[in-house]
Amino acid sequence: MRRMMLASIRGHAARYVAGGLAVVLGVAFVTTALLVLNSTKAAMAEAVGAQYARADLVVASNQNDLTPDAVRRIQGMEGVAAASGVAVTGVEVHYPGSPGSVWVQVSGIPLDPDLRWQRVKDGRLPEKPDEVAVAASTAKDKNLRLGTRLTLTTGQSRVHDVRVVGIVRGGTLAQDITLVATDQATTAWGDGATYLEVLVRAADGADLAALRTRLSAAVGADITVQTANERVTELVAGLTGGVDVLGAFLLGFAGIALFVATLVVANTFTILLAQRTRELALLRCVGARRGQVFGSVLLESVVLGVAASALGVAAGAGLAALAVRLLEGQANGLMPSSLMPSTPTLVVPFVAGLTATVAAALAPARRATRVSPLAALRPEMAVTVRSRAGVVRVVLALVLVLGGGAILVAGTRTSAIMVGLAAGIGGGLVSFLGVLLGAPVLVPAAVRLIGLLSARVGGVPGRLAVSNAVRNPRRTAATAAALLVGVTLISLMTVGAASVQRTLHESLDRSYPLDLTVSAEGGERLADRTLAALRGVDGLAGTVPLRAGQVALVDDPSMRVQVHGVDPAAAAKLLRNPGPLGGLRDGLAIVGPVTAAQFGLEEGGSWRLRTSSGGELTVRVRMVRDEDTPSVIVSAGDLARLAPKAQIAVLWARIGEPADTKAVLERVQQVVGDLDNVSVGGAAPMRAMYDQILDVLLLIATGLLAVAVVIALVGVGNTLSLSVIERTREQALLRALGLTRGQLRGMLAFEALLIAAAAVVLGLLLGIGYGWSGTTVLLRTAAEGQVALDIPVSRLLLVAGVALVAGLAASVLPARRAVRVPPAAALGDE
Amino acid sequence: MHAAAPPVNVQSAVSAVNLVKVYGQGATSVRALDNVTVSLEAGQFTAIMGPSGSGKSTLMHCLAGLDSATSGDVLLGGTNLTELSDKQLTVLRRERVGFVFQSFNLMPTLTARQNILLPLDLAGTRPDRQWVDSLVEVLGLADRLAHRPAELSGGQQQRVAVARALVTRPDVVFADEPTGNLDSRTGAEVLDFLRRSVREFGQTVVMVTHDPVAASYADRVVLLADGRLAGEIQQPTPDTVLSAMRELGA
Ligand SMILES: Nc1ncnc2c1ncn2[C@@H]1O[C@H](COP(=O)(O)OP(=O)(O)OP(=O)(O)O)[C@@H](O)[C@H]1O
Ligand SMILES: [Mg+2]
Repeated sequence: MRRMMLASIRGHAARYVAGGLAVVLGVAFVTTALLVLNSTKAAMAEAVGAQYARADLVVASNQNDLTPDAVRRIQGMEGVAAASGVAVTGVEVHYPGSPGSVWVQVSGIPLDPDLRWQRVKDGRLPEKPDEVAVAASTAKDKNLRLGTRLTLTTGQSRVHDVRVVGIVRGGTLAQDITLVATDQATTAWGDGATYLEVLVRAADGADLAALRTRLSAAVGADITVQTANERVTELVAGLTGGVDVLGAFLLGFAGIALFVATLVVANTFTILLAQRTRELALLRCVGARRGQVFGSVLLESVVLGVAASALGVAAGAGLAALAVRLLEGQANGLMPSSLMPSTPTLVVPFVAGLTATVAAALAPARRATRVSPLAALRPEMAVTVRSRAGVVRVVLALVLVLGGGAILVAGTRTSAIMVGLAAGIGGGLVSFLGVLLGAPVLVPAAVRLIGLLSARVGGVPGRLAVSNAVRNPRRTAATAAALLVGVTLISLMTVGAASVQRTLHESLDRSYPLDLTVSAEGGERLADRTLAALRGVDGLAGTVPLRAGQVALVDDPSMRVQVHGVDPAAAAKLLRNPGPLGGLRDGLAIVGPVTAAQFGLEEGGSWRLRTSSGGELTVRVRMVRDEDTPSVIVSAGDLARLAPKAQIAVLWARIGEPADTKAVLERVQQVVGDLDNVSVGGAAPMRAMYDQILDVLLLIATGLLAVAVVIALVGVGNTLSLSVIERTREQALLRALGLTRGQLRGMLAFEALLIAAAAVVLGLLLGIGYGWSGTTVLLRTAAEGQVALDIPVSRLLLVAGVALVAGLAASVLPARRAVRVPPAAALGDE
Repeated sequence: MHAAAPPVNVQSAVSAVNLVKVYGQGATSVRALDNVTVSLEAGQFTAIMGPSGSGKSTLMHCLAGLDSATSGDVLLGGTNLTELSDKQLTVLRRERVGFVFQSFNLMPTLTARQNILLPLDLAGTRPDRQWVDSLVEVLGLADRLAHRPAELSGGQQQRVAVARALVTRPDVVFADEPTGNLDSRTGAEVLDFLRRSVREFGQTVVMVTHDPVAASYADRVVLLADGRLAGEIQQPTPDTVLSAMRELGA
């Protein structure tokens, strides 16, 4: 039996290629994810641990309040060989050539040379207070070299000029440290000479536990004393929280890829066994037991699983090595510089791949055992059975779809987010399971419908393609299912991201009506040149100037208040919602809460202002809270009477759509970059940041899902080529009767297209449904019920187009094989 | 329907000239046809007979444009098949040749009616209603047209195949052991119909068979042995055919 089975695998090896390829891809994905994650964690532990490599114990305070005195006390304790404080402080750095400045962390070099851990790649460590070393990744990003001068601004607004004397090697700095300076400089730049940690090295032969107890007693209650190992473990745990989320994310997608591979393998076995029905029946005729047939099929799946999984692990390791090479040196040396495989990272994907393959073969194998010995005697024609979906299956599928759908809808109605999430994910999964279960009914129905619609273009080959595609509903469904999973997930992500984006935009519009405001400090005037340059910035949909003037109060002539004036109509067009102007018109003053408190103003009260001509102007007060707008705003007309000489001090701008917000911001920064009394504000940067995050997330998710889609397409090609083999005689007959090669190719292409189209149509519908409900569940609470759903038509069309073209491409190889069969083959009577 | 009507003065519907067909290469090569020259007349029912492996099917495949010869020429109604491209051959088969095979004649997904009309559908031409109706009636298929092959008996399937072969009014109908899978009574029905199509419609039919009784329906029997022509019998009877076959050692 076993010999026969191995012969069968060898004989049919080519037919297992596609199924095997699907498993290889899935396993490779899992392996890559696990290896990269594992290596990243290991690299983090190494980077974090570098600081503590020479210490035995670490005294740490969250308050950053360990004083040099405390360090000296520790140094003086019995059993301590060395102790040094680690100073960490924040400063603002202006890098030459980049606009603005950024807030970075500086770590000090321990005073005791024995406890120093920082290592330079180039140059040397700082020795004087005006010297710094920079992290290698920052040096690369900002184009810093030895000798580059930097300007630092400390928390106390003191400015220091420093010189770069060294580039610190990646892997010897904690993630958030950018600069390294002398202990003296670091403590001086902070708001007092204090340390975050004290590294302690015990004297040779000292009792660590006892020393730790004594240190704890000496330093006080709020301060922890840990061994170096404990400290590293704690810090890594804090850091890898993010990696674990990323890991769950990656592995989730890898799981999807493997699931799709399972569908493809199940499909392969189903078809191969259907083709071998007579062979299996003959075996049963000559005395094989059911168990033996089952066992032989299962053994085939084990052989396939072992081979494909081993290949997958190897390919995954290769990919991971490549990824590590590309990521090296990123994120301050937190990314791994070499692959660090561990047993589980190699064994888990292998076992997962093997399990998936064998699991996929179970159902087909069970069906194979039901082949009656009589099947061997039946004429060939009877072998093309038309399997009908059982009633039980249909009912169960309906129950799952409706039940899951109901749970999902309920999830979108609840305001308890955790409950909603659970209901959303659970309901989504259950209903999707129902769809997959009902696929043998749904997919052929969709194929028929699409076939009807496109019957005119297809002609006879088209009609044949439709009947071929629906003649074995289970197989067609299984083929489409793999693609369905991919298309559903991608369109879910696309619709979800678009809806989140729109919801976010609308909520940003509500909270931040103003895209951009450029203002001169203290109500000074913006130079005409600056104004002209700003108005000319490409990508702005419009600008509105605000004039500012000092106005005296009638009630207290000694007091003057700064009042801004704007044209209400122009401003209303510019703002994304009218909130901050609150219906501004002549005789009304928009007043911020701070100013209102200062002058004792109330909503709806009147405020008497002195005009330039010495008269009086009484305005009604409307209180509005908005951080981006000046605190007193009146209409341009009123301001002309109060302060006719008022100059333009503020320019409001709205960014056009669609616009590359980031680029527009950069252009605006360029205009105002050198002027130090001008500041840029508004919600545009936030909007740009959110957009960018969403785009990146969508891109990553789509990329990861693409693996699943590629596997699904391998499956479509596989089904098609196997059915070509199965239908060799049919095709030869058609060729004998006058079907041209082109028509045969067209027939197969049309069949692939139909299956792909059915999957695409169902997948898009499901994806839109799930995307919407998912967005609703996620954002209902945050967006205060104002979730804006969106269908990004062009992106979805792109998804559909890619899937269809790929489906078409999947028919090319099978068609090549089919047209090579000589028509005389149909006459052979076997 | 025809691409070109056969010229009146050409008596043979299809002929082979010095036809050679070699399968495989080198030591394992088989000379299935060895310099066969034969002419099959229009409006006649010809049977090809010979021992198993003598090259009957091969000869038929080459004559019908299903397979290409190694050397020599095949003339079908004035067209030299050896000069045609695959596409031209396909169109020729579709329009000028009809086939009946021993088994697997029908597309399992199509109904009997769709199967009969398949060659016309493939060519994109309209069926001649009267012709189709008379074929269906003569073959006794009228109440079976909506059925799929799996729902038809072996004899009915073969009759559908015959109807399909005749529907385009081809120059030649080729049949390779059309009664091989049928019992003698059903086989006789099919053979009788083939003969009637020759007598009544002037159809040319070429049939490969093992069965002397089947061969006796033909006007002429061509005998093959070891890939060569081994004689012929005009107006055969089962007895003359049987004795000729005995001589060939079959
Ligand atoms: N595709 C092929 N490849 C190699 N040899 C072949 C092929 N087809 C036929 N032959 C050989 O050519 C010879 C003639 O075969 P053919 O099928 O024409 O015989 P036949 O007269 O039809 O026999 P039968 O009565 O058994 O059908 C045989 O020896 C056969 O083995
Ligand atoms: Mg034969």
